[in-house]
Amino acid sequence: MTTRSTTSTATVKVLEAVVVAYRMDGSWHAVAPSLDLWFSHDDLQEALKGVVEGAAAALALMAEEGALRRYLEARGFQLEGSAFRVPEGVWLKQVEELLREVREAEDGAEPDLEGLPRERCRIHTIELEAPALGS
Amino acid sequence: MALEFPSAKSKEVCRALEAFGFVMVKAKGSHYFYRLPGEDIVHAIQVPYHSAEVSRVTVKMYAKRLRERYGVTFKEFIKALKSGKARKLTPPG
Repeated sequence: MTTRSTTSTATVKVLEAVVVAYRMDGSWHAVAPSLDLWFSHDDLQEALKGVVEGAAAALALMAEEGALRRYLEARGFQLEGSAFRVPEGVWLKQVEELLREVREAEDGAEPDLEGLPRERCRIHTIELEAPALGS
Repeated sequence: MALEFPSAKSKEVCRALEAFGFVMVKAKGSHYFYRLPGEDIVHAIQVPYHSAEVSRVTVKMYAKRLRERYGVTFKEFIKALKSGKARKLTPPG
């Protein structure tokens, strides 16, 4: 699933973040490892929506404080074209680590990047406009 | 034997952070932002405040963040979650 807050153009900076959603103890838990944020809900789409809203809230707060660029750079985001994203090798490691934690917490789940149990774990990308970043 | 992390409620995570000396910077919708007094805003910790249970994996994510940046042990964090009591932290370096 890709969620875009508003229509963007080539010149608008967007934030792209990878989100892992996993099911545990009856709820969906969506986590964006690069942003240290998460949201839980009975419904997967609501859990993802919560992460999108959380990311938007973080961007808005950091923009208000004049710290948006530092906030993103401190979390490994780099500007590539018109989007801030974490390099693939970095987010892959973050996702693998998170999936290891899920596997540890729930014996027998054994999710991994090669064979995710789709009913239990999913990987999504969220996109948010970040116009406050400027050029 | 590996330490087992409990699931928790959002309010228990917030209470634990406050016990360590974090203060809420701002609430935006249902998302709360905490930081230690005097610390750069970019290190703010975000807690979505809702009724759903915080998973064991997410609780561990907070614990790792506090260990890596502030030297809080996993046991300390779990104790703070349960009791709401903890030592006050200061921003590193």
